[in-house]
Amino acid sequence: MDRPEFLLIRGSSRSNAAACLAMALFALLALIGCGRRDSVPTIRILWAEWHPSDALAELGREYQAKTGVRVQVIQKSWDGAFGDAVFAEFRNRDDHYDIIIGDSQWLGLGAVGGHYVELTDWIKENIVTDRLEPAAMKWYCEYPKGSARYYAVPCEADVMAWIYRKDLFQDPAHKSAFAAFLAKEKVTPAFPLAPPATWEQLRLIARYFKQAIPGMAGLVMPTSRNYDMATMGFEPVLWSFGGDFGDYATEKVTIGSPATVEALKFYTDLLSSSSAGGRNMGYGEVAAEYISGRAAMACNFMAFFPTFTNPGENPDYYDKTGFFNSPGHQGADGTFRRAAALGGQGMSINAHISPERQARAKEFLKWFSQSATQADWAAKGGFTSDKTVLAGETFRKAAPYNPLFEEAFQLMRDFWSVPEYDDLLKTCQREFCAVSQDGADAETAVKQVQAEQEAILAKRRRDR
Amino acid sequence: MSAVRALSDRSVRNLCVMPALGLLILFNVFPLLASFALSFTDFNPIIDTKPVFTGLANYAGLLDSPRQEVWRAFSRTGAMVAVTVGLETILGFCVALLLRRAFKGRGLFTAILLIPMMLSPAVMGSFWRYLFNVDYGLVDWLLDARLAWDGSRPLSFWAVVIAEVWMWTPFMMLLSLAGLNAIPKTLYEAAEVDRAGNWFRFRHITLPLAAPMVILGVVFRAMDGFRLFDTAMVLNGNLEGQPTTFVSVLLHARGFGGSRSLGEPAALAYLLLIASLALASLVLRYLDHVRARRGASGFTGRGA
Repeated sequence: MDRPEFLLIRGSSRSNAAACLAMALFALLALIGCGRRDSVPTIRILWAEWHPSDALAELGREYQAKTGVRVQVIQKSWDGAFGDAVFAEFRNRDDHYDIIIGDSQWLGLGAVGGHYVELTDWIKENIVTDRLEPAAMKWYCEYPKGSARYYAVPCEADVMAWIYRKDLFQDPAHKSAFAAFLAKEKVTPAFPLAPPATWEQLRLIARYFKQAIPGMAGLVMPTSRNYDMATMGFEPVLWSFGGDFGDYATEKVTIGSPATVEALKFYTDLLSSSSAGGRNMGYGEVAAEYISGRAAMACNFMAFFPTFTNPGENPDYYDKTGFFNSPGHQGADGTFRRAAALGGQGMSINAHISPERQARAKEFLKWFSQSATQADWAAKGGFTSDKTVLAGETFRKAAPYNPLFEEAFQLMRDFWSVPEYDDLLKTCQREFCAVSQDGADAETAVKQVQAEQEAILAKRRRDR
Repeated sequence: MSAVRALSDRSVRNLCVMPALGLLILFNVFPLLASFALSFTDFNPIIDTKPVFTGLANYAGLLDSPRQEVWRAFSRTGAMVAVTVGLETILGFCVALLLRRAFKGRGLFTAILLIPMMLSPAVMGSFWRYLFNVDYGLVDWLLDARLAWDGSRPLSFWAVVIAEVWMWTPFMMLLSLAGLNAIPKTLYEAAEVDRAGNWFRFRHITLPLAAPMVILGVVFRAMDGFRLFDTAMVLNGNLEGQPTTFVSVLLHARGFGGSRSLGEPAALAYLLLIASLALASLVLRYLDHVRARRGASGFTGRGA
């Protein structure tokens, strides 16, 4: 019996030999590539693609020079790739990364899912927590809130604040025109054209610039339906107006209050002074709008602020930009409230790596948390939680926005950080945007959020 | 060698097919069934809860989603399919009409035109991302404007349209060309004898006889368009509630986001599958109808 027809190889023996040789060479190269092992001990850190990651990579080179341990900072973009990478690591229980610098809201997911190493005892022995801002330990490291159990050390402290065009605010023509605008609007008491102290002042200033300069937005702020942007943009208004998401210790939802409705209506009205696309704008778009000269004021996380003072990135207004913290609001009860949305991340150790790698990661965390390293971190553009560094003249003078930071720490508050944070966030994003972008009724939307969030947390209690 | 000789053609064929079949079952059929089962559960692998059977709750939740998020994604996807497939068909057919004529270098020209189709959508998306960049992109430079083609801007939808049309017009061109080349020359000769005009020949010979291949292309592209993911993801990321949040992007955002159950995205995937199959079935029925009508008129397109 002959060999089946299709097994017979046709063609000259020389070309067959060449093909076999090429395949063998390819296989050999592939094997060599697979077999390569890096002999240098390495700490792989997963973080977002932004300025602070570059600063951390720079700091990592110093760590390598000192200890011989290489530090690789793997940066993933904010447009979803960062979250995808973190959640893929969690979901697959992978050990690609030694350290994960995850968003503060993800803390519960990392802790409850068993993806972050609990550092409570280790922190007691290795980190001088008295030196750190208590707000940073609470929001970036502690889960559940108030439990004194820690899963991270503070890395990039961040908070939402405002930037404004100093050249416009200081222009005498605008100052007098603004006074006339207030008189026409019958605003009493009148106030000067300066960084606003209250949300009402901010609204009036934004309206003035929107009317006074054609093509200019009075303000731009994060309002996008994507991820957490609209919710983060709304948070300072919500808290200032006396509203709240809920009690994080008892997990009682309180978002459905009249204060939230009032805040949401105010926030929607505020956006009428924004740019054409201002009702659906992401963090990067807010920055781009300001840099292009089309906005008098912009709200963003402070981690983006180095962009605004960099002549390369903001060539027209880098020296004409001023900064202020979130304004406040006096409620019907007479209480003046002021708050700012917390950003930033803590540094956690991946629980799925070997004990040897965990020990190496802990050494890095210890080094990173030292005061000297924190001073270096701040000098490179990172935002530290170290009180001694924050209070130092070097830090205050290092960047024009740095003096705001110490005050901002006292204002910062955060969203839920329970494992169900994503479901809770999505209800807020959907309903707040329905009001601010599509004109839905604020009261109905807020009631919907309350009902859905209560159901989500009730299910959480049942599952536990 | 003797062992090989002892095998019949049939046995060898089975030996070759079995591993491929095994892999197909392992990587295609099993996940298909597993995800179908998952679509009836509440299961979050991140916090490692056990799957809980929830019946049709995931499907009901999606079809009655608050603020019609899912329907919005479907209508966005439908709009994208209609615009891209429409443009690809018109452009592809026009280019095929030009390529049908003999000219020097036609083969090379056709090969060059096919390049976009051969690129990976992710690679192609990365190219276009650079071209659309607001700071250093070629598109804004050519338009002498600072247009943002990404994020939440309406232009981000059109950025995906442009990239998709650029990539898939060659595919429609190829099928149209195949359809056009199958038209017997004798029909044109007969039309010439009858002194039929160009428009008449195009309307009554070219278009109806090339139509089956073109419609086949439309079916393939429409089905492909409904699961559009890679180009949108590379160009505009994993964004929710944006002009580029097509069903597949929404599915990815829901399935691979933070704490959501995998059950809901699995149900969404099956809704997408049903929508694609329904669309394909409609178009194929139409194709059969066209064939039957032509058969009844004794016009086979296979030459006189």
